[in-house]
Amino acid sequence: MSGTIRILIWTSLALGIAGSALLVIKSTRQMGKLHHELQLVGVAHDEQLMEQSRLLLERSAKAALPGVEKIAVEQLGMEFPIKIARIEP
Amino acid sequence: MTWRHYVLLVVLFGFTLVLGGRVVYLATTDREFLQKEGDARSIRNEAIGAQRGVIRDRFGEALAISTPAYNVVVDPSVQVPDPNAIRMLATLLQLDAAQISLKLQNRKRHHVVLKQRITWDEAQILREKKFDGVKLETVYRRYYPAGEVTAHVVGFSGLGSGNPAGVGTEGGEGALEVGLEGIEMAFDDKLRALPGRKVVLRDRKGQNVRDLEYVRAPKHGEDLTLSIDLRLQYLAYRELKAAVAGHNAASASLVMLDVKTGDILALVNQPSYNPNEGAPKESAGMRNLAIADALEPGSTAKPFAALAGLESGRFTAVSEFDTSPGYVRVVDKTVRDPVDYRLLTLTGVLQKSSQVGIVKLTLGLERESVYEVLKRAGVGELVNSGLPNESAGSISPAGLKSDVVKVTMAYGYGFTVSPLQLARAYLTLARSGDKPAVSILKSEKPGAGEQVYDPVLARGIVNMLESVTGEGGTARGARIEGYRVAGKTGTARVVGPRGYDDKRHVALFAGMVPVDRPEIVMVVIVHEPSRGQSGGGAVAAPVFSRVAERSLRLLGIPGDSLPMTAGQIPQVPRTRTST
Repeated sequence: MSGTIRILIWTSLALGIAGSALLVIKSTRQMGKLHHELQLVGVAHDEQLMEQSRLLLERSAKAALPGVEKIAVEQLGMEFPIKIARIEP
Repeated sequence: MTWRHYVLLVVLFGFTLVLGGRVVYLATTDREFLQKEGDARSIRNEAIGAQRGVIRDRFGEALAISTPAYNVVVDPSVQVPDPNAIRMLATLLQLDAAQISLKLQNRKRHHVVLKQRITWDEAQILREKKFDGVKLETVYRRYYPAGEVTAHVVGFSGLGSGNPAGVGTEGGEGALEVGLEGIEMAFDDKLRALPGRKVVLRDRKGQNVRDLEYVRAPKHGEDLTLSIDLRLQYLAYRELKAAVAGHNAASASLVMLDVKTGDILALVNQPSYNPNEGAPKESAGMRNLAIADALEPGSTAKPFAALAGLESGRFTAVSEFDTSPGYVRVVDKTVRDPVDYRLLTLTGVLQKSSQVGIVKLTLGLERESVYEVLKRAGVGELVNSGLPNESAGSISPAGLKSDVVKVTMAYGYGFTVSPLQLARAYLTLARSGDKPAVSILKSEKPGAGEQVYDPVLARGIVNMLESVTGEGGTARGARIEGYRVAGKTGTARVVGPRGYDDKRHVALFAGMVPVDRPEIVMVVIVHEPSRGQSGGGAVAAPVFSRVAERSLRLLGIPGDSLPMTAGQIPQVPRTRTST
């Protein structure tokens, strides 16, 4: 094997090692970045869940019959129909 | 090269040799131990939160919801916050700084919870401050928006011990949320959330830097839609509470069923409890009397004795019974009416709730006739509504050879039913003898039942029961303007330590409305009213009237006692948007 070929092989190996090392560093950084994003998405997911639960609770509170009746009577001046009116066609 | 160069070379070579030797030694001799120690400091098992299913009413209103909350945790084996951070944490979490320091003293512990279930807003502040070594762990908190109103149906959940190995968080904080009462318990398998699990790599500050392995995916609980209509549940709760207060009663129950589907529209008890506060201190309020209580139904059983009479072919609605002189002797027992009703038809016997009349009818029947009619109505068998701790009641043909046992069964003594069973028995009458399945889960379509009575005879009983709410009947308090109501009152004596107690009563009313095409069946039971009135007509029937009146309007059910056709009455849609 001539000296030139030997140098080429050694150089290629060295470049390969250096290249793969760089790729490992890059993928590690990418993984770290993705992990960070995953954590942020998890927090956002929790936030959305919290918001959904809060809205469901709020809706239940507003839909509760005592509250609806109170608004109907006190704010809208409505009353429960005690007397039945006959409607003739 | 001088001798100094050689010395330097030898030193360097020797140093390299020592380092190399150490590397080889660590990599071979103590490799496993060192690997384990390293992993223990940087690799952790972590739970992935999962949400318990939502429980909704038939129109989608939430009855039980889980919302994310956070546990504030520290791993003292990795890092403990510095004294300044501990002081700030104490202020933010409203804790004592000295106590936090004390908790974190043991550096061998991996998981110390500083505070459980802090809110989202509190968690956000901690996130912004970025305390080294402090982590937020997602957990869930259960809320019951309707509180006391749906307590006996929905029940409550709590931290249980049934944690599959490895599921949950570290340090003994991995107890799963399990149903402890009501629907939460009965349908725990569906509602239960199973946290996932992952292996994470942490840095020296205790922060996760990489997820190494996902061991198990989280399993969120399934949502559940109940048959309950929250609007009717509120109505029933309010009226029942007022009745208990007004009559100074010990307790009360109300069950409302949908005639078409057999769905339970409302089920309430008094006293109740607030499930948001966990298990009540006094267990009395926790008991779901409407399904777990077995009581003698008193005169509410008479329509079934009358049905036995019709089935025998020996009696009709107009068969006459001479109830004079207001009492009748059966073997060694005297059965009395409050007054002498003289000559009554079978309809009149039900209308006046005559003991003498029903005894005379029963004496003319086969020994097991009434027993068999009651059995076919479901007395003595579980309703299987889906709610836990149902009582099957009790009824037995043993002793029917005695005329006393035979006649007492006809007026509702000597056997027991739960309020839900009684409601199903009346539901069977309302459906002209068709006994459906009764469910706490919303039915998608009207359920087919089992035809247990002749439709014409069952319908005949319903028509006779309308007279009970008419002039001269015992349940005029159950009337509703614009609607025809059929039903039956009952007043049963409570069994005390020395047999039946004449001073303690249970007031009952079981009825249906509208008579033409029954839509709802309701049973109201008030235990031991103690402000003078104690009869079913005076105590329970008015509760039926008030709850049914508003329920019919809310459900958009047209009246049947007005001289107009249903088409002339504006129909209110029965369904609502559930979004």
